[in-house]
Amino acid sequence: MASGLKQRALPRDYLSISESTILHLRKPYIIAWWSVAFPGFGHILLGQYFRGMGLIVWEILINLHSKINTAMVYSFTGNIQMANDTLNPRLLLLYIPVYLFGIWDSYRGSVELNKEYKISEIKQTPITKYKMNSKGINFLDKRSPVFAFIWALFIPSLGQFYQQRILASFFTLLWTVIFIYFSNFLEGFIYLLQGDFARSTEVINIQWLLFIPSFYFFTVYQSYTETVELNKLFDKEQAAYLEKNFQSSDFKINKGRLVE
Amino acid sequence: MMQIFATFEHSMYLEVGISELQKNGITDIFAVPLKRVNNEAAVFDSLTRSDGRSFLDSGFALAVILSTIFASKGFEWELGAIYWGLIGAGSGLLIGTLFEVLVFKMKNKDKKLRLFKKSNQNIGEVILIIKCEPKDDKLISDILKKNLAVGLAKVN
Repeated sequence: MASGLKQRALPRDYLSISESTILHLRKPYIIAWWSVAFPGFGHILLGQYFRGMGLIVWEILINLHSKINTAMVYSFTGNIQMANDTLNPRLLLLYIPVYLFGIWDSYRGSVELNKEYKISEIKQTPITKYKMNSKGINFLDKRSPVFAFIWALFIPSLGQFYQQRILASFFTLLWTVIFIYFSNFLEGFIYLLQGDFARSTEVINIQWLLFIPSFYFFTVYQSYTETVELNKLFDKEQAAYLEKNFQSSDFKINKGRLVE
Repeated sequence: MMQIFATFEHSMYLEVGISELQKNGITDIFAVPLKRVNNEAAVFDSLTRSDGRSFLDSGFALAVILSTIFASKGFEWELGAIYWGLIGAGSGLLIGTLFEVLVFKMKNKDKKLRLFKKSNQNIGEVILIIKCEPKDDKLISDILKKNLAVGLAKVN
């Protein structure tokens, strides 16, 4: 580290008991894509949790009120008339600007954050390894991305729990339960297993069901990729620790014979 | 004086090992963390390795699109919304990932690609050099082995 430089850059991580916010490179178009799939997801990936959660709640409420998911199903199946009849126009026009804003803002946010990341990486800004207080303990740890993936496949939220992202985890779990409950997903699933396709389609609530695909795959994706990034940060922190403490300049390497 | 060379993967075992050595009075330790040089990529990263490439981005993007559209269409198709949603998700994930693999193959003809990292290729990410009396040799190699050293050599 150049000691003459004034430190004026983001630290490379911030640990609290309930969240681990980290800096790493993101592909802006992937971030924008997740905002297309569900407003707020792009911001969550950037570590802007409050913006992300706010947009997610906004999306769910206005989508429910305007019946956008139901209208989407009718449109995909070619019933344009039914789609138009379903849509509730009262708040519909409020939806579009916020939706587009979410995409644009997360895209430009990731571009800006990538620049900050590069500066932090050049300046080798601090990486916090430990956090402990009366509410609990959090530290950089080695975790298996494949297990994060598998746990997230079973129940959305467990991947984030594994990463010690407790708030995000319970936020995800709460909405998962709400979506499953109101969409009658599990009831429809049981009829499917029994081979009763017509009954299954009948009990399912279209409006609520359509929240599930993007929500589900997002949590799996985030669980996997963020675990990889947390591991990289662990490696960087350890390398910096070793370089600082175990590279004394008077250490001489032996040039003798290999014994064993 | 002899020197023991050991290589490690980055993990907490490495720091536990160093602490145990220090507790036993062995403090003349030199560490060299290595920068990774890749000539192989894997679709899935493992606990100890990640190659900095993501092959799953397009797969997940396509899974979301296809599962939403197929689940919608599924309300009219025979198998129903859930099965079609799952079919859409699975095929989206597969097509997207295959697409990224193909693009990778086209751009990097000289690089090998695996699904998972081969476990016997853990050649180490950190080199540890420990200066010691020959009598401590056994103690040190035991501590290093117990804490998952990947490679070990002794030089006098």
